[in-house]
Amino acid sequence: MGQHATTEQIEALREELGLNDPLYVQFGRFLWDILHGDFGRSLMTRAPVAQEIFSRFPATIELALAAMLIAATVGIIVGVIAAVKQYSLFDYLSMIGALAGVSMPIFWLGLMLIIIFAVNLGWLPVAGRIDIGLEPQHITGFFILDSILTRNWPALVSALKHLVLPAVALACYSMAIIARMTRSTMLEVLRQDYIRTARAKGLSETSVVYKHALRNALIPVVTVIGLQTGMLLSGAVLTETVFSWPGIGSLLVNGILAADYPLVQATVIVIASVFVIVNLIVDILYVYLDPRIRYS
Amino acid sequence: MAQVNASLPEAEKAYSFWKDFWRRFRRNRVALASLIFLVILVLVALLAPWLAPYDPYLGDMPNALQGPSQEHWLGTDELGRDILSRIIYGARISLRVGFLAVAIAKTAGVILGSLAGYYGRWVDNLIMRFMDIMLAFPSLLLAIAFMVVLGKGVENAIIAIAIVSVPEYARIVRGSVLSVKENTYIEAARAIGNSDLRIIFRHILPNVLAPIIVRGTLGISTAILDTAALGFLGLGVQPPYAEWGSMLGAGRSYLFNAPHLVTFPGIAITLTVMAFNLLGDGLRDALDPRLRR
Repeated sequence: MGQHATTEQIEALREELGLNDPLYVQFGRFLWDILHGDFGRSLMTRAPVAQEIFSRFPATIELALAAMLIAATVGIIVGVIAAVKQYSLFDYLSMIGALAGVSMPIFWLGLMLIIIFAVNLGWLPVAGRIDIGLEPQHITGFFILDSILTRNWPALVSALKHLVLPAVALACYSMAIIARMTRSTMLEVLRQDYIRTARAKGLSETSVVYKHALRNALIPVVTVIGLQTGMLLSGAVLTETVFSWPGIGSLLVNGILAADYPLVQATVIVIASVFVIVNLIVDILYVYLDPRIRYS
Repeated sequence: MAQVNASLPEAEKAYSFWKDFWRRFRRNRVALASLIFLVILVLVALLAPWLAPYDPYLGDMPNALQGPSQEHWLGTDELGRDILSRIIYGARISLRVGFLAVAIAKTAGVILGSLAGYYGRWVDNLIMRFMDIMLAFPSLLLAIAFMVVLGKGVENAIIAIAIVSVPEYARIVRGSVLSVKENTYIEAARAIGNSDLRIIFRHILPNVLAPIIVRGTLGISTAILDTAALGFLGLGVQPPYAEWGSMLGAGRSYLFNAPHLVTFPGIAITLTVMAFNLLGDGLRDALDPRLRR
């Protein structure tokens, strides 16, 4: 509005924004609007915040899913091998790796990966989600899925190449937690009587480990995976900033730096809601995985 | 045997507990090494003005972005400041934030958790539901949200990180208080007319000390990581102060020509956090064998 605004203009804007109403009325209106999907307008772009978040959400989901896939696969495999070969060199090395994984700042790992694989070796791109001009036709907003659906192979390759480094950086912490958890539950399960029975009746070691032990060891691991999915969302804030990934994490950081409060509020609410929903889903999944658990 | 122990004077009992703890802790060489590393780090932080080879704030533009050399062991940053000196000074901030944030969170968590566990009913409901709401947010995200409201700066970073870690301590303390308060010696303490406060502080809290100490040590590593993250995002410690996270944030623009700017502060964070994690694991094993994984 500028410094030359007249009193009438200021008053009109206050009235338009509802600033003359009592605070509880303003807050009530804020909650009511949120429930109707209206998070207000961004102070920077004047665009509706909900629209902005909605358009960037697929990028974050794509990154988080890729990270979860890497973390769960590698974490479980490493955990199982470490448990089966307890006190071996592999066991020691992987547990040292896991310790480093939980101790490293995720954004530092991202920077190191960029220096090694993008700057020095030149194998992978430094930042972004896809090469300029290769963006696939928008169907779902997930570039990988969209490029497969439209059979746009150059786009698929480019999208995958851009996804590798941020996904690995984001996955590292969860991978370490999952590997540790898998190892300790596997060790516990392998000591059970039914494992001795399985071995005694002459089953192959592979069958004992994967059919009898792993399935039981996985129950607590699934909870951890669920909890980590939530953590990935806050990790995404840092990873997206490092890799200029156009998701809601970097949207949040931009909003903070520009003091765009409606944008920050909305992003935090959305991320927290997803976090809560994911945790709820994990609790429900638990019943299917472990028949001993029943919610009444 | 139990009778003999019961007749020992208070001081001697305490002595044997710590002696026993130290004996068990000492056997864990990794934890011991971590403790020594952290003691040295604290000394380095305290003696920074004497140990740092250069003034961490003094720019030297002609020598900007130099790689490691004889004069500057870890190189210089974009303003020609000595990176080793800045990392040494950075240890002061990271450790201060870590210790203070955990101390504040622990105090608040112990008070809230013991009130909730001891009084139960509506006090418990009121406190713990509020803690549940906070736990619904990923902690770094909540800290960021608090920083947006409180404003940038190291003091606010301490407050934000402390607030978001309160629920964890409150939950641990509440759980321990719930199990301890059913013991007959608490009933006895109440029967001879002790006040609630005295029962909580004198008879209940000493028994829930082990999990709080362990959680606190591990909490420092989370606090240091969160401080670094806030600094990296430009929300925490403001320039020109040397802080590991903000050093990484500033060095990001020079990834191509001066990768050492982000390499060394990151190593400092990783080693420190790793040491606190290992120390926490060692303390857990030594303080309470039942907590052992």
